Amino acid sequence: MPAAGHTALEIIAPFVDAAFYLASFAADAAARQDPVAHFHEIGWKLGRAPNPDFDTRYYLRMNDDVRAAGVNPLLHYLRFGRAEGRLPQRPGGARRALAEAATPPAARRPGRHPPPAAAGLDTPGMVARIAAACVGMRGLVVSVSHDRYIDITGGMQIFIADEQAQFNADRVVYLHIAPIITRLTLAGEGDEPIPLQLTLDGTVMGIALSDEVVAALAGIGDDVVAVRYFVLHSLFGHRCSVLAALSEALRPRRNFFWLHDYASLCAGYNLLRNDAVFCGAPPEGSMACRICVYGDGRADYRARVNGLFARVAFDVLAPSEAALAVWRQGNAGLAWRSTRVHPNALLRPDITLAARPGPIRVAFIGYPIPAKGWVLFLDLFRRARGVPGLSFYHFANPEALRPMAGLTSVPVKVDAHDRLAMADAIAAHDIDLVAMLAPWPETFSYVTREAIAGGADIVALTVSGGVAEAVRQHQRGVLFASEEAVLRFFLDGHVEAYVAAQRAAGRARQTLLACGTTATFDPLNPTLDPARLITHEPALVVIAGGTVVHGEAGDGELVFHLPAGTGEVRLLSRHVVPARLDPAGADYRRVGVGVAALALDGVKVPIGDDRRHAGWHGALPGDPAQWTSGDAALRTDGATRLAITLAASPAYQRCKLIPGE
Amino acid sequence: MPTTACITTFDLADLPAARVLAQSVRAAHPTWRLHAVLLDELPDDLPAGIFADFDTVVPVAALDIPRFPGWIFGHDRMTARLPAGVLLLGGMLGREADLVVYLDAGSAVFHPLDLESGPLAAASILLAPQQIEPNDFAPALRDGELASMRQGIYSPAFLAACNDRDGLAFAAWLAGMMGRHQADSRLGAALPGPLFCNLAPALFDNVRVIRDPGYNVGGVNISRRRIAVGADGGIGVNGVPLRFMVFPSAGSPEEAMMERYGRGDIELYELMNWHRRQLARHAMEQRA
Repeated sequence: MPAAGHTALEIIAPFVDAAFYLASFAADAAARQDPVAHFHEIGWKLGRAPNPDFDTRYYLRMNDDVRAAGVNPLLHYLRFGRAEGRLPQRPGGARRALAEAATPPAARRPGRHPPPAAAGLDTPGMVARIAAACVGMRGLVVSVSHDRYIDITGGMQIFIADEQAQFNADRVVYLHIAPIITRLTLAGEGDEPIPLQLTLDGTVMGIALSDEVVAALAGIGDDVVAVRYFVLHSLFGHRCSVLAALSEALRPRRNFFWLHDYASLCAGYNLLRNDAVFCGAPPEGSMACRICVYGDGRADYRARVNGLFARVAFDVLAPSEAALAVWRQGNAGLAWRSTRVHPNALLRPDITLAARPGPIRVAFIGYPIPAKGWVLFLDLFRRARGVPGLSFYHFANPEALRPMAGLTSVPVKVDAHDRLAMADAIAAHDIDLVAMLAPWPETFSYVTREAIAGGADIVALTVSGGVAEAVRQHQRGVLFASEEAVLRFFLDGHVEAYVAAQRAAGRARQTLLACGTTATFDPLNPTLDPARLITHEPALVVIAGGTVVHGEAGDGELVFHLPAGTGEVRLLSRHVVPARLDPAGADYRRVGVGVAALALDGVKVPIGDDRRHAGWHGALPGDPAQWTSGDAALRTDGATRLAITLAASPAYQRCKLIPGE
Repeated sequence: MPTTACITTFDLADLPAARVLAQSVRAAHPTWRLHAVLLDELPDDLPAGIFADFDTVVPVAALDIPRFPGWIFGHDRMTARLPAGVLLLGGMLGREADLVVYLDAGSAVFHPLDLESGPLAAASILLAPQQIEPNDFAPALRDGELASMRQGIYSPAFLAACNDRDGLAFAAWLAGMMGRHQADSRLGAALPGPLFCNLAPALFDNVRVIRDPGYNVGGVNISRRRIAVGADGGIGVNGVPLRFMVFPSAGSPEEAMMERYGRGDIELYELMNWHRRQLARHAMEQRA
């Protein structure tokens, strides 16, 4: 209790955090002049908090006598309330609010997200479309996730888009299946087929019922495409028995299951018990599961997932060692064929630049959700926003930004044509530290790589799995065992020495290489090395009608004997998007083969000839070759001999899952 | 083979809570028989199967309490719980079970109570104190030990007695005190039921006072107990398994104590949220 004789202002002064308080009254001259007097006379009546640990509104709401007396609640607390055991703020903080808001998956309303104006597909139609796409292609990948990845920007969606692009670049057809009814848990089992949406090589194909899709996959014979793979990225929204039937109908060489999250262990896919505390996936009969919103029905959920794994022999791919370790610890009852760590993106050292002086710049990247550490970042921001020498930023999609005083919002749009937009924005603002305060073991964290690529270091919790793993691997950041330790790092000034040393060493940028997820999986080499995937062999074939024509090498050219009466052919080859191999580049064109010369029945078809009518890039001045997009059309007008002379081929990334060069 | 019975008491408004208790007891002790006293009259239009979590439910009027109208008039729905339970306990011991355990309808069992084996099995009478560690903070002392001095040192949410000389004598004595004497104005002003248990260690042999923080976790002692969830999914208190917890009713002083002395422990709020969710679920089923 404060000593008798002190005035009210003397009593409360040590507990009015001027920097914190003034963040609410930046434009108020009286508040700036004397924050203590301002709070005592005005601030508490407006419900403003004098410091991060005293909630004026809560204290008044919980204490009728104080409210009735009309006294400054902070003064009352310091004089009497503290000794009487009254609380200065609602205990439990933001995590308590999260736990209270946690909802059992079964109680959540499912979404419905059909593709706009999509056609209904029947089995014969699907077989015909897939078979047509497979002509001249080296393989077929059927992948499954929880939403239509082409229309949504998120970590998993980016990985799937890159996977599709990279498979396509190696002449592999990519069919993606997502549910139309979306939910953050499994679809219920039953006999009624469920509606699915299909995307073929990045373009919406249509919608169909699950039994018809199963029948269509069963109708794709070895004569259509011999090499097939099944890739399961997400279980959510799907029925396990349907997933097993899809795989069985496809008859793939391998089934891959990606650990992008822990949904194979629990519907609480990030293993946050009651959305608040990392649980580590204890046995479903445990007390922890009993008190968790994901506990009800978890035994049935796991039985269904285990049933899927029993029917389908999965090769399990984890994007980090940390994710695999968590999964192994919690996956009792699951059977699988193999496990492998395979990252979704790689970082390579790039240039080091001088860091700008000025306040320490701390950022949060991405959607402001608790699973990404927004709650702790917000707490840090609230406590530290007035501290001299610290400034705070939020980088995200425009719709994800949460503008507030003292927080600089930076809109950033990452899309297929600018995967590095976030890294570039981090670099442009010369961010020192990115707070990646996920309270659970993230399986990979693309955002962490974006931050490092942009030259920032990471502040993270040791529990953060793939985040912490990246920090250790690249030696780019600092890890803390508890949320309190994170706050102390910033509020006790340790951050200053850290950033001083970091800036003295220079801002080390890195390049971020997308890995194409499954497309770069090499069954024979456990370590991902993109250089080992490089080939200069274009794997060029000619499609004449429905026939694949292979070339015969001779005299510096490839000769293709075309069936009589062929009016037009396609030149199908590997392709590459140069910017994907060289992030510093800006060439986002699909580049196939460089054609130095081309002749039909011995007659030259020169560059600019209108028979080269689709899929040809414009000829560059001084370049004797014209480049295709990897799928170029050529009118042949009945010619039977096509001779192609290739210029030097670019570096392609080949998929090691597909046999042959 | 020795048999164990668990009894509780509730009125219809507390049926959801009693069902939470019953289900938690079944999960921890599948072989126990579950009996309940209904503190209301049985309505005619009770939905079928509403008492399915219990083996038997008897109306309080069937307990053969002397001067029943006066007895029931002297209680409210909360203070009648323990006495009615004790009266049923006395009747069941020796007749239907070798060990009878009373648990308040507002409580829930998590890990097995370990009453039939181990150190507690040797006792004839089991009591769980409200506090087992002194408080040193004045408000917690006021809400804890000083309140217990007035209202009872032992938890009104738990007691157990064995079918032996001491257990039977204790059960008969306590039933008598709570049944007859509480309604007998010649004995002076009625005392809170739990207060009678203060005398048990003095009046009877083989009384075991359970000084284990895993038993009887509640608002009156949360200032000295910290809940944690282990990696194995077990729930612990001060490093030992959580056996049973007494959940406060909405707006009660015990709820305020949970808030005041819970130190913001997320695990405590998870438990309380869980209990609220179960109550809401059962209440919805009851309405349906």
